[in-house]
Amino acid sequence: MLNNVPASLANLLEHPGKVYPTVVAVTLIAVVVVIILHLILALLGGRAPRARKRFNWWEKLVYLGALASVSVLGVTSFYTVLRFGGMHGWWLFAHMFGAGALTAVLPLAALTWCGASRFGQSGPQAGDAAYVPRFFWLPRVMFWLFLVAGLGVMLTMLVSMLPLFGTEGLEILLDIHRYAGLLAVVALLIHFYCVLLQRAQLR
Amino acid sequence: MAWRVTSADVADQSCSHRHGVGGERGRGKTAVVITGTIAAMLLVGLAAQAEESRFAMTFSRSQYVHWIELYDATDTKIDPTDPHAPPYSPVFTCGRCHDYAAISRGHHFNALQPQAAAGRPGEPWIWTDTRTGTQLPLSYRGWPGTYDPRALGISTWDFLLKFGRHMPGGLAEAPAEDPSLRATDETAVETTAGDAPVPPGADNGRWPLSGQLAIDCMACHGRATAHSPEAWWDQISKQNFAWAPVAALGIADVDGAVSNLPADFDPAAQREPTPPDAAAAPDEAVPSPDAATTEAAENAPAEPAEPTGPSLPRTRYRALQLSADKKVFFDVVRTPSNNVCYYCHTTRRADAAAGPDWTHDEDVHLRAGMSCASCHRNDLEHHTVRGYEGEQHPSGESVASLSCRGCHLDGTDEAVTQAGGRLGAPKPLHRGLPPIHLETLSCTACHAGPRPSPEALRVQTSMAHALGLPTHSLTAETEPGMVVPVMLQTDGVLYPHRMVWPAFWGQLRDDQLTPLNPDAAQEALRSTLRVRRNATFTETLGKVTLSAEDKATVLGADRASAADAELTDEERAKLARLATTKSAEAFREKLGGALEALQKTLPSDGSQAVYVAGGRAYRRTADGAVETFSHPATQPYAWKLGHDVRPARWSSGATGCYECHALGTPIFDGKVTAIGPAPDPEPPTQRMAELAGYDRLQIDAWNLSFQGRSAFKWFGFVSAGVVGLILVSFLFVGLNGLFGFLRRS
Repeated sequence: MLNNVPASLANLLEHPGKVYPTVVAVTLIAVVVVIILHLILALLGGRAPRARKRFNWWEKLVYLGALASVSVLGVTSFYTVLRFGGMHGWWLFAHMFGAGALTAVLPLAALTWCGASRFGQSGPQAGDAAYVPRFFWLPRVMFWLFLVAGLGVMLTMLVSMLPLFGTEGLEILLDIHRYAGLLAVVALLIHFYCVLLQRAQLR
Repeated sequence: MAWRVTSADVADQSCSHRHGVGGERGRGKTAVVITGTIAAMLLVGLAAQAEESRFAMTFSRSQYVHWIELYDATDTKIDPTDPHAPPYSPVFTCGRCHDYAAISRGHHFNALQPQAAAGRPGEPWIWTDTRTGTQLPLSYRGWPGTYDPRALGISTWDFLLKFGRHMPGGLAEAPAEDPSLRATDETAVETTAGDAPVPPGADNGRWPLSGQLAIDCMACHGRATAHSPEAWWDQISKQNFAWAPVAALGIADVDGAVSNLPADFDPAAQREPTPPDAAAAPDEAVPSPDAATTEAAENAPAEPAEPTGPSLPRTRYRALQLSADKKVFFDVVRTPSNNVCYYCHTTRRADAAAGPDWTHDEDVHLRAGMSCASCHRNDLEHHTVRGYEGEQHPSGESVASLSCRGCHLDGTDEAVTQAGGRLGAPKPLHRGLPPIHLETLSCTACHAGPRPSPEALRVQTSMAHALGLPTHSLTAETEPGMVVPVMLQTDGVLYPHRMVWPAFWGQLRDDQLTPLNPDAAQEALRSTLRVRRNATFTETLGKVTLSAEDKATVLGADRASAADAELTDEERAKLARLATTKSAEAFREKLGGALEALQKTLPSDGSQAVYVAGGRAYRRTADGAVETFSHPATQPYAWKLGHDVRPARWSSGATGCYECHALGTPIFDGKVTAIGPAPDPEPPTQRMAELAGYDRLQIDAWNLSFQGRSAFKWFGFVSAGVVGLILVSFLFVGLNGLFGFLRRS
């Protein structure tokens, strides 16, 4: 089995678009399995809960907006890719509207959550040993990952709309868009899990 | 036999050796065996070599110069200087060095061979009869939507007399060793009609007189303008099938017509003319051995005496480039010129906005220096590559890189992936065109044929409208009515098509609507329709003259008496609409009588006489009125087009997304209106998107969403800029913190 790994990797690098459905399926299953395992460990573990600051209405709104738009994008793309091999018709139409929503939500999410997701302390909390950050380390990593991947998703499609790249260039951009989208979905999924974990005072 | 004897001898020799029985007798036997074996092998080898060399090949790219002997249909050498020389037969003249049997199965010659691979549906033979309002798409290839001539009782003979003008010959025969076999009606039927032979007598027994219409090799392989299709068609029209190649090539004059011969004419009893006095002239005029060529005119014999009474057509060879041994120079080219392809494959726009022919360009590939045969190539078998994606070539060779996509991108088929770029084909950039377009659109959808327009355009083709032959009567309305481009999907890919609506007299029984034999229908309706020779069915049945009362109804009493020149455009349009409506009423009234007359010729087994035209079917009701009804048989026949390919800057979408992705664009909303001989004030009309099978709501929603596309791009880049700035600033903050931590450490 391990002998096949280099070949599979070469195939992935050479035809990233062709193996995308497999990568999607494997990645999503892996993430769900990891979350379930982590949840079991969290439930069994005796880590002391920490009181963290709750979301205000604006933060909730932006967060829900991000979740909703990414859900639409994820479902319309992953379902069609796994079911039909590609996006067409109404699915593509819905995906396009999800993309419009994400374009609006992503900068808002960045502005809203960037301070809470930074590493280290600064300002009045600096040096305060009793200070409890809004998120533990994992959601903070996932937030920045989501932002980077989200920016990649947006730019690849926006650049594709300009008469700059030919078919081959557009296909490369499409592949980047696909994998960046998968990364964004995974990052937000894990981030959402971590938020729920904190809400349940398991972290 | 020789092998058996030799083997036995070898066994015997082997046995003798094992038992120690040798001596002179044994050695002699061995020598005989070995000699016999070698001789047998040599014979087999020579036989194989003889078989291989039966047909000559030069294996060079250079053009072979053809000095050839002419042979007639009985495989007898022709002396072109003989005043009684028969017409040359391509079967035995060209077939002497080239495999005629293999060629006869090629794509251009197997149209009447039901066992031939059908391939992608293409242009049918459209049986058009303006006096009965018939335009019937026919094909022996079984393409859905066409009718098999055999099923309609159309004999091979009738088919050739109708469509021979644009046939290369060879379609109604198969080469036979015994020429006498080919001169029978039954042979022609058996070899072409397969399992549904034409009834005996259907061809009036004329085949023995007309001879076979052999493949006219020089039609394509003659030097550009040497061959005359007009002369070819002239001979076919006269039923002089065997004389058509010689007349078309222009090497002989043909006098007489088989069609003028009486039905009981017996060629064997034809009274031969008195031999001319100068019968020895050819011998006297034989050129000296030193002369390579001479003109036949120099050794022309005295004019032969005319035969008395009816006779078969006579061939008089013209001045030829003739060698001393009576070999004739044939100016043969290996690769046919575009000119000969154009004779059968010309397409011209016939719509009002088309402009004169000289304003239209040829296919961009031709302008780039290529020829039709650059892509549509073939080997000796003449399986000409059609050049569509997924084509399976009968030779088994991959032709994937001879399609648009295969040549300009890369060609793939079941077996191999062939790199594109043949003949220096440029790789298209398609800048800014999302790759999904290459999955859902054929290359031709954007690059070939006329650009989609608000109304599909009328078009005329060589095969359907006899282009290439001189005429004084071709107008934009000349039937059959054909439109282009009509966008239709095949397996989720959009292709441009040409489309024609069938029109025919038929019978309806058990919901099955089948056409009647066009000639039989004409015979049955001749006295009822009363369409004069130079008139059309549409004109005669729909003819109306607007009365003063009619004009007053539309224009008002004041304007009704105004002269035509004084009428406004609006008033003229009103009158035209009224004329169309009244024409349709008059047509239906007369149609009722015709259907009634036709009904009497049908068997009384529940069959009902019907007329189909312009996407509708007409029949009589119980009270004698005429009603229309829908039936699948009224549906149009469409076939994909490949040419003319337009330059990149003239392709659809070259000016941007909005050319297609906006409300009301021709590619989705262009109207396709049925055309037929029946006057119809409201002919069936559909939008391209409906014909293509698209979801109307989805197409409109999608196109509507493009309205804000430019704004979305600006918004997207601003949004991405904000996110990017945040990421960069926090990256710097992070790096600053990291360096500070390192400094403190």
